[in-house]
Amino acid sequence: MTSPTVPARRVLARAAAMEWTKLASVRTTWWCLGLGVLGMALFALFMGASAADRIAEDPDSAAGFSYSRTVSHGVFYLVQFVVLTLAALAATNEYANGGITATLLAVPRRGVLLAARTAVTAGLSFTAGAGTAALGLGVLWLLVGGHVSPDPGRAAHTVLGAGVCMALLAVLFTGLGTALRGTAGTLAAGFLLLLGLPLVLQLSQTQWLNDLAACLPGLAGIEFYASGDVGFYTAPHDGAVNLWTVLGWAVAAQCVGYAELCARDA
Amino acid sequence: MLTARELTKRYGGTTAVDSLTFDVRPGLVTGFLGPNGAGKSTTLRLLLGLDRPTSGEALVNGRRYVQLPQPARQVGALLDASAGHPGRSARAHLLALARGGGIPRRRVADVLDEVGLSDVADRRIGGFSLGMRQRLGIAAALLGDPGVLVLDEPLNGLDLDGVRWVRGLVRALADEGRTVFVSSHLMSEMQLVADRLVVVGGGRLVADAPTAELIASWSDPRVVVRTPDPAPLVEQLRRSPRGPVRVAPGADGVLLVRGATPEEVGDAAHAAGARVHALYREEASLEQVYLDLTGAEVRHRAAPPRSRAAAHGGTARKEDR
Repeated sequence: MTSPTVPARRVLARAAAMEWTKLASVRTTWWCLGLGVLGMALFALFMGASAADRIAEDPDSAAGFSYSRTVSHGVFYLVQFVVLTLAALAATNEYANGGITATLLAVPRRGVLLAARTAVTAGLSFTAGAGTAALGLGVLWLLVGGHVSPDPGRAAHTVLGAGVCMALLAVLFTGLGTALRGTAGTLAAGFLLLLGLPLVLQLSQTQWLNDLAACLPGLAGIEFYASGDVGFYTAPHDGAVNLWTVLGWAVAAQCVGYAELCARDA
Repeated sequence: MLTARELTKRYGGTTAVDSLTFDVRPGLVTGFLGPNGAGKSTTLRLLLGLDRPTSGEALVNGRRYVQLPQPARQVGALLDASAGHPGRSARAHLLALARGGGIPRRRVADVLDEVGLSDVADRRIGGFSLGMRQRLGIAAALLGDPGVLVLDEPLNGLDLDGVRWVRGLVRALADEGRTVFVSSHLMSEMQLVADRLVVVGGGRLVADAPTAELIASWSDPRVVVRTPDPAPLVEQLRRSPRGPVRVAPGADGVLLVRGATPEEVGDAAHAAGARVHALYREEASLEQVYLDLTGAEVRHRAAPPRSRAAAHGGTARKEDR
């Protein structure tokens, strides 16, 4: 019973197909994404309507309206938590229901499994990030387009930036979830990293702690996809360095996740 | 072919598996027996690459599981609690495993049919009964049409129909030349279906032999005699010219005679003038052998239901009547 050796790329593609089938066959995934889409649509609707009212009363206030900033807030406050939930569930739910056994029997190489799982959640999260950002821009354009025209270059940056950042957050939380193996713990850690810790650091009113908040993945992310025009926070650095920061978190979490997956018994 | 060589697994201070060495050969149903906590499941997990051995080797077809090319096509396994997400349908669960293992999609419908779950294939696993989950687990094990099958307690939760089905399935798989390794607590089932037995206790190998040989060599054949006149019979048997005959009271007022044939016991009864209402040789059962083998190794032992006077040498109770 010897089987021919299968090229590594084929093994990875099979594992990714398995992970995609599992993710797509569970209702929670679609509920999560649906809530993200709905949340962004409603958020853009309210923000757009109130902005349109303001501009109608005071045309000068049109200068203060930013498509990119508004949509980025929607991504930061809503969509990234959808991505956190998706990645946490993809990485941890099999430890709760025993499915990890069947999964590792089908794909016994830990690195292949983690890579496939990460790629699938990252792909879905890119789509969620870029898609909801585009949706938000579209809704805003319908409501505010008569007064302010969006800048196509910045709009494209926000859409792609949100997609890339959401994908990187998915990489981060898939790695973290693989290391922690618990859904609750992963979600708690995710909330702290994305929202809790940066808020606390900024409350400190100490400049270096305030600046340190920019090193956390949530704030570095919005700084990137909002092109520095966040509105509520200004990191000491603009541009690509923020993307590298998110990437650094993602890579670090993957390294820890991989080490845990290899070292601990399933 | 499954191979354990000096296989050892320690968790902190406790040794779950203690230098186990055995082979599981193709074409036979090999039973894996041992009390709770004897290290059966750990051994299976080591063989399947889920846990890492502290020392020694666990090999499938001569390689570590993780190194197998196309492992899902070489080995199929049923381990408990491996059902997966309760919100997923049985079909999607199997389809995902097929995709991961590089198994053609049509096998999903084939195995669903084979285990009798076609009708409920699109229902969520969360609503399945234990028996249905068990069938789904067996379907997953059969998915890759593998040459090696590892089934951990496959009869759990199955009704009589299911038990008979698994019995036939296991036999058929072995007859097709596959390696079949089955753990179970049901001794009568093992006696029926296993050609060979690997018995573990306290993580160590206790026996590794053909089932028939094991039963023959370890069993302690007894003659059961039911008589309303035990005293003269016991007296007569004690005076047997053939040497030591041990008589002990059994359940329901019968006498259990060791060291004599039914013919000798019948003759002794005749000579003693004792009436005999029943007389037969008790066939050895795997259960007895198993209890003898693992008696010293049982980890979680319940208190005996009531204290029994260890009566050797014939203080037989009178039948209550």
